[in-house]
Amino acid sequence: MFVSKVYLSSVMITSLLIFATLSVSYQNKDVLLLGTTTSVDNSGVLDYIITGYHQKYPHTIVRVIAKGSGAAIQLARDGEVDAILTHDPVAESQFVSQGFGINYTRLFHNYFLLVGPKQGKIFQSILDAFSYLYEQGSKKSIQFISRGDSSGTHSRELEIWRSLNLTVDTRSGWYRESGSGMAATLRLAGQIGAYTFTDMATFIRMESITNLNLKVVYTGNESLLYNRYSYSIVSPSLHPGRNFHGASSFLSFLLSYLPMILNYRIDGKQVFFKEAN
Amino acid sequence: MLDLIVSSSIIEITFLSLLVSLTAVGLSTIIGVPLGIRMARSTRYDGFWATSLLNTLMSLPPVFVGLVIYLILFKQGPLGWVSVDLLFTPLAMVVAQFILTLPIVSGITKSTVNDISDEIPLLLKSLGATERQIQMNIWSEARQGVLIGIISAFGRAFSEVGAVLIVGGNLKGYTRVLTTAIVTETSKGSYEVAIFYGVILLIISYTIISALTSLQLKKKG
Repeated sequence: MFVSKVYLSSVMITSLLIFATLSVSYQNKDVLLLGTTTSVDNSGVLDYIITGYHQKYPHTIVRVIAKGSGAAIQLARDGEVDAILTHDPVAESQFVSQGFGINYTRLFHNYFLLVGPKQGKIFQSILDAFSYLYEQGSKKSIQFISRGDSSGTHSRELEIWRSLNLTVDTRSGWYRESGSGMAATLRLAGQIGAYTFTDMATFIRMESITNLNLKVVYTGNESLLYNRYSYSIVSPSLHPGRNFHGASSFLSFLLSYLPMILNYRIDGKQVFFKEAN
Repeated sequence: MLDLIVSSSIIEITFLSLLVSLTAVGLSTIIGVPLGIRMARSTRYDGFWATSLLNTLMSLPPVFVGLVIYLILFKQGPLGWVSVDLLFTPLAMVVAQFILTLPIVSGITKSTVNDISDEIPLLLKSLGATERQIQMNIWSEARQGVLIGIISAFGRAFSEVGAVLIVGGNLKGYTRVLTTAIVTETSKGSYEVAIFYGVILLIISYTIISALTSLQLKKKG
């Protein structure tokens, strides 16, 4: 075999690097892996919650994988995370009733909004708005950007089209899917002057940090726009290797911290509201 | 902006980027260089199929490599029985970048060694040189080309985003590296922060690559 001083020293350096990688990968600490939605992450509330948690439990590290609710629930089914904080009630109840999740807890809510270009029309109800978008879209006079990523926001948007018996299709030319998180989708919609369906917290947060070039064209509190965030723990009997203890302690913390979350303000506005019992 | 410059997260992210890419390229070097030399000294790998396969491996799409590694490491995959978490760790990111860079190092080493005249090893052998002396001679002749291979591999690993995003999960404070941090900040619309990470990426890239280049340009000793 080919041996030289250069080679030997590369082997030594690489071994040290591998050792460093292993020690970074497996720090001997209590880690809670939380799957969540981009809307919770993009709104900034998660950083706020985790900062509060670290003050109380400095020895537990909370790591966050922010994807759409659909992807977060899939990670939980696969046993890749310890708990999930999501906002897709239909997918969540399936997840829980199939035995993948336990301690399902409703935490707080806000509402979905429809936003659109600055010169866009203001609507009187969400169903009116969606019918109008469909009609104008078919004439190619407006564009709509869907998340298209199986997130909670995406699945709600699809539910509204379905409740109107409308079928949307990306081949139509006016209905497009970004396949990205909420913040990225809002930016995209603003840039091309399209309508998009969004959650309150992310929209207000994005508006506060940048000029999105969008305005709210419909906001209301009908049940179709009710946006509830819930927490579930990955079933310890299905995935015994997961950190059930950490996930439970995080749940108790979330419940005790609820007043602070409801107090969380973006741009002076309350963005999460108490669940009625 | 100022809090960002002095924040610990930027140091963490930069450190992890360097650690992951240097470990992957280090592994690719210690395995890929001998592998490349071996392949060059056998005629078996000189045909059209072997060469085109090797060239394709040199340009494997990072996102696809990420996906395949994800499916191997996740709990339902063939390595899912391992009790420690493999997925969403810096270790998984090293594995991904190793797979992306190994063909680059061995492929460039092979073609460099191929370019060295076949007669030199034969001549040395006829003069009574040992196998080790022949290897050393090839190494010193091939050094420039091998370093180009290592430089390309580092460039590939350090700037790559698709594979580390999938297998690392972009976990803040754990698996977030400079490239995935740029993706996150851009999607949030924090362009200043994204640009700042980009500048750091370029500065470090320049520093490391110029260090390797100075080795490449050094007169043969």
